[in-house]
Amino acid sequence: MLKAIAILFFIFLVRTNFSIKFILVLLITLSGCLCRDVEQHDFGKLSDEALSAIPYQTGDEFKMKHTNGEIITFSVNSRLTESVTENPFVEACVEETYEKNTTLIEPDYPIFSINMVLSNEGGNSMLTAVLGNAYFYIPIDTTQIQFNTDYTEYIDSLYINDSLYLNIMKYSFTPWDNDTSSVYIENIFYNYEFGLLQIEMSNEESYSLYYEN
Amino acid sequence: MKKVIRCIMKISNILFATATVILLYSCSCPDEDEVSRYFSNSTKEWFVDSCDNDFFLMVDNQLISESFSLYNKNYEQFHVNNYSRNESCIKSQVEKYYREYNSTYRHNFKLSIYAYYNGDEISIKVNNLDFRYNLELQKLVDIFYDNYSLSKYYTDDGLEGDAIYSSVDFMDTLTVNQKLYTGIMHFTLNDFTDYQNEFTVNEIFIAKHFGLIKYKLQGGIEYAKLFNQ
Repeated sequence: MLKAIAILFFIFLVRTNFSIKFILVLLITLSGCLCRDVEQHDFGKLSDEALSAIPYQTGDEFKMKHTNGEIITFSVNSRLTESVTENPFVEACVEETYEKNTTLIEPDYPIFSINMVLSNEGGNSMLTAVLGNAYFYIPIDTTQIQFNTDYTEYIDSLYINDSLYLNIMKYSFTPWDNDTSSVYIENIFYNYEFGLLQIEMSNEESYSLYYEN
Repeated sequence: MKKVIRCIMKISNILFATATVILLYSCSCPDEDEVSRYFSNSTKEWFVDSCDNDFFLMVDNQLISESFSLYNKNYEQFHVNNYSRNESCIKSQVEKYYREYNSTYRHNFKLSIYAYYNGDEISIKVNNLDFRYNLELQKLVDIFYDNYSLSKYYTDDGLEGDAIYSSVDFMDTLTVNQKLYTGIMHFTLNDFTDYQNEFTVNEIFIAKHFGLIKYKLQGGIEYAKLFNQ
């Protein structure tokens, strides 16, 4: 039976014109690249614990005071959760579904905007904070925290603008090009209750959370 | 009949090929007429060749400082066709000098200088405002702000096109953060008034050999260069 089909197909190819032959050969070749069985990985929804690592909601505002006195208001323009399905590797027959929660925060002064992305891509929840040119990976639970490294330090308590904050994580950043002569965001101080507490620049200037009396 | 059709097809092919060749020839410029343009000495004074070439600091009027680091630089010579005032085909070899800086807060400064057939041009971009100025004609050629633009084009009589109300004037000296600079180009934005906001760059000061030394925003924030030494 297969032999007969092959012979018929051969006769068909011989009798058809070049463009049809070309399209058929192309389709047959491409079909080899397609996955017959796509492996589905569904990492489900972001946990409440992970979502609570970012204390900001759409419409929130907070103020930060610069070392030299300027008070800047940051507005949370959006906080959205979306489901993402994608192929994590170009040639793998795998499709991953995960959740991504994005928070966009804009200042009312021309400095850095803040973009926080929380996702469970690959099965591990991870929070990335992008402040201008600086990137910080913030652990979303204490099991992820590796303290006392070059990049992460745990601080029990800290006074900032006369307010006491507890359970603070300090994250450090080094510019990709190691150009330490430039002015860049060097450290951020963060806790899960208030979010960004303080942003230290490499030139001794800083921005710290500020509440008006 | 078949022979006649074949003959007509052959003739049409020849005609098509001839038309293509003529069209291509009309778009090209004769090499022997090439004109070379080089920067004049006075134009070269706008190059950023001080010690601040790779890096400089600026502070605003709320004492928030930031650094501008050299992100991209280039010098090249290249050929340009059909670039003349009277639309005749002139091939010219031109020079281009280029510097681009990015800041801590993602502010941006670009300086491009061209030795063109129509006269040396300087192009300045600070954040989302971009203008081009012909140093010989002493005229603004175009301005870009966000998605808006005003452009002029070269004719025998000079520049024609959109009306541009923004201005460029020159100052002998300007003191910025206790440093005296000489040879200052001062740009003032008087266009796109309906589209401006408090963060729109509306004044730019460029110094010979130093580049950007000061700029102002519509909302009153001013940035001034800190002298490195």
